[in-house]
Amino acid sequence: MKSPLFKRVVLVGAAFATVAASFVASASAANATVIAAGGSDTTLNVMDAILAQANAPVGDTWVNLNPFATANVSVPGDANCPTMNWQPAGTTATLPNRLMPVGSGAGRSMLQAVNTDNTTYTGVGVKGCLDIARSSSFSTSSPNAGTGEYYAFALDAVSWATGSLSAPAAMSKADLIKVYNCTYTDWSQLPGGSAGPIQRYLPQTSSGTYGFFLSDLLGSSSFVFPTQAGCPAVKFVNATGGALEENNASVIAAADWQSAIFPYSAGQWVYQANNASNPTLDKRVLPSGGAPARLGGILTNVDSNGLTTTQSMNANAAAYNVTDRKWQLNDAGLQVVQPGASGGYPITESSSTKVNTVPAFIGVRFVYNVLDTRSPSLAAATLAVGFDNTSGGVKSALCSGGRAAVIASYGFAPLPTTGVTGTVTASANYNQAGSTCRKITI
Amino acid sequence: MSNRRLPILGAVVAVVVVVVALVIISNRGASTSQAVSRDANEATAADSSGATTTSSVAPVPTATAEPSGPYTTPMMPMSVSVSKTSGLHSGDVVSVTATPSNGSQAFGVEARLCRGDASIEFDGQMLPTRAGLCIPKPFSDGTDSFIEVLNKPPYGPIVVTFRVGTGSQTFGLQDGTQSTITCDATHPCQLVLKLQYPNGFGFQGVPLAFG
Repeated sequence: MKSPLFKRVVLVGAAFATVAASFVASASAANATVIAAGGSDTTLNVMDAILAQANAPVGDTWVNLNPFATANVSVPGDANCPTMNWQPAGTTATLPNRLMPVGSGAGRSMLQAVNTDNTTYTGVGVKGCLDIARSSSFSTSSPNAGTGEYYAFALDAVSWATGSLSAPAAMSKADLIKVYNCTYTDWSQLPGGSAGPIQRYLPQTSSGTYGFFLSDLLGSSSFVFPTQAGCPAVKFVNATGGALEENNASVIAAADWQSAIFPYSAGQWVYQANNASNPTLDKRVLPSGGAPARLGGILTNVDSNGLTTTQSMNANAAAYNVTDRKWQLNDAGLQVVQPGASGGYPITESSSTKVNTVPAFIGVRFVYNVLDTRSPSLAAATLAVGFDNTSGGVKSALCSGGRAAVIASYGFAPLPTTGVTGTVTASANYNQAGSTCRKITI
Repeated sequence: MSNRRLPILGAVVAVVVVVVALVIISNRGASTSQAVSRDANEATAADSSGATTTSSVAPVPTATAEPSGPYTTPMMPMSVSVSKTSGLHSGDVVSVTATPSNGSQAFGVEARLCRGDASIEFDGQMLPTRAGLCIPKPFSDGTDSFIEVLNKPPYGPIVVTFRVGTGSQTFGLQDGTQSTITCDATHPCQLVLKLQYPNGFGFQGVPLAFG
C-alpha cells in the first residue's frame, strides 16, 4: 500500500516532469525548422529534387509547394508559422491557410505578404510560412527592394515555340516583335514561313516566363498587344478556358495547333523531350497525339566562337547531344564534346541581361530561389538554396556544385564556380565565394 | 519524511524523467543522421571551401559517406526481372522485363551500361558526357551501350534485350575532363534502367559480373 506521502511525492514529481517535458518539447520544436518554397512552375521539378527531404538537415522539414496541386497541401508548423494548408486556386482560404502561389511573381508576392504580416495564431507568427520564392524572372522591386536576395542556381533560356508546320525554323528578335504587335499575322510574312494564320498565346501574367518573354524577347515589360482585323486577341487561356499553364503545349486548343505561337522554357522543353516516352511528363504534344511542339530558333549574328558575323545564323537554345542521345541546352559544355554547330552555342552566362545589358543572344536567363532578409528562417533557407557571398563563404549543397547532375537532369545548365563580369558592374560581385550560384540583392 | 523534502524529491523524479527524455531524443537524432543525400556527386551537405570563413550562417550537419553501387528508386510502381547477371561474356544478351504494378503503366525503359560502383539516381548521372559513369558507345560490334524501348497502350510489361560488352574506353566530358570505364572479369559493371511510369520515372541498377 502506497503512503499518502509517496503519492504527494509522485504528484509533485509529475508536475515538475510535465513542466520540464513541455520545455524540452518546445525547445525541440523550436530547433526544427520548416522551410517552404513556392512560386514558379518552371523550376518546380528541379526544386522537388533539390529540396527532397533526404537532403534536409536532421530534424528540419523541407516542403516544395506544387502550384498545380488540386487539393490542400498541409505544411507542419514551426516556431515561425502555425500548421496550415496551402489551398488550390479557386478555393476560399481562411487564415492562417492561404492560396497556393502560382507562378514566379505570385511566389515573390507571397514572400512579401507573409513578411509584412504581423498576425499571430495561437501565439505563432506567420512570417515563416513561405521562406523561398521559386522564380524564373527577376524584379528590382519584388519581393521587396532592400530586403530581397536572388540566388541564381542555373541557366535557362526562353524562346518561342509552335506546333505549326508553316512556321519558320527561326526568326529574329525584330520579327518576333512584329508577330506579337500584329505587324505579321501570317507565317508566310516571315522569312522561311509558309501560308497560315498566326494566333498569339501567352501564359498567365504572374508567370516568370511571361514577364521574361516580354522584357527580354519582346523588349519591354510594358509591351502592348494590339488587336486588329486579321490579328485576333492574344489568348491567355487553355483549351478548356482555364489559365494557360506555361511550358505546356498540350493544353493549347487543338483548332489552334497550326496557328499558335507561345513562349517556352528551353529547359522545360529539354526535360519533356528527354521523357517523350512518358505521356504524363511530355507536355509538348496534344492529347490526340501528333508531332510535338518544337522550340523555335533565334536568328543571331554570333558564330560558334561568339564573334559577330554579317550573316544571321539560326541559334537554337536546345540541341541534341549525339553522344548521349539526349537533348540539352546548347551551352559551352556541349561545345566541348560536340564542336562546330553553325549557330554557335548561345546559352552562356554572358548572354544573361544580368551580366550584359545588350547580350549576344536573347532569351538566356538565370533561374532563381528568392529569399527575404526579413524572413525569420533566413539562415536555414540560405543553407538550403543560398550561399554566403564572401571569399570562402559557406555554401549550400546546391551552390557548391553538389546538385549539378540534378540540374542537368531537369534540362537546365549548371553554373561554373567562376562567374563572368560584363557590362553590368554588379556582375563582378555576384559570386565572391567561388559558388555555383550567383547572388543578386535588390 | 517531512513535507519540506517533497519539492526536492519531486525535482529528483523530474530530473530523471527529463534525462530519460533527452536520451531518447538524442538517440533519435543520431539514427536520423544516417540519412544521406540524394545526389551521388555530393560528399557533404554543405561545403566550406575557405579556411577563414566569415559566414553569418552555420554549417549544415555533415551527411554520411555516399553509398556506392547499384541504386533502386524506392517505391516504384514497377518490378524488374533479369534473365542472367553473372558469368557474362561479351555479346551475351541480358534480358530485362519491367512489369507495371497492378493499376500502373509502363511507358518506356532506357538501359545503359555503366560503372559497377556508381549510384545513379538522376538522368544527368546516366548521360555519358555529363557524368562519365556510363559508356557513350558500344565496346565492340554486336554489343550495346544504350537501348530505349518505347511502349504502346495499354502500357503493359516491357522486355529489353541488351547485348553486354567487355573492354575499356576513355572519353571526354562536357566539363573538359575525361572518364575511363572498364567492364571485364575484374571490373563488374551494371545495367542502369530508367523506368517510365505515370507522373514520373525511377532508376534501377542491375549488377553484372563477367566470367
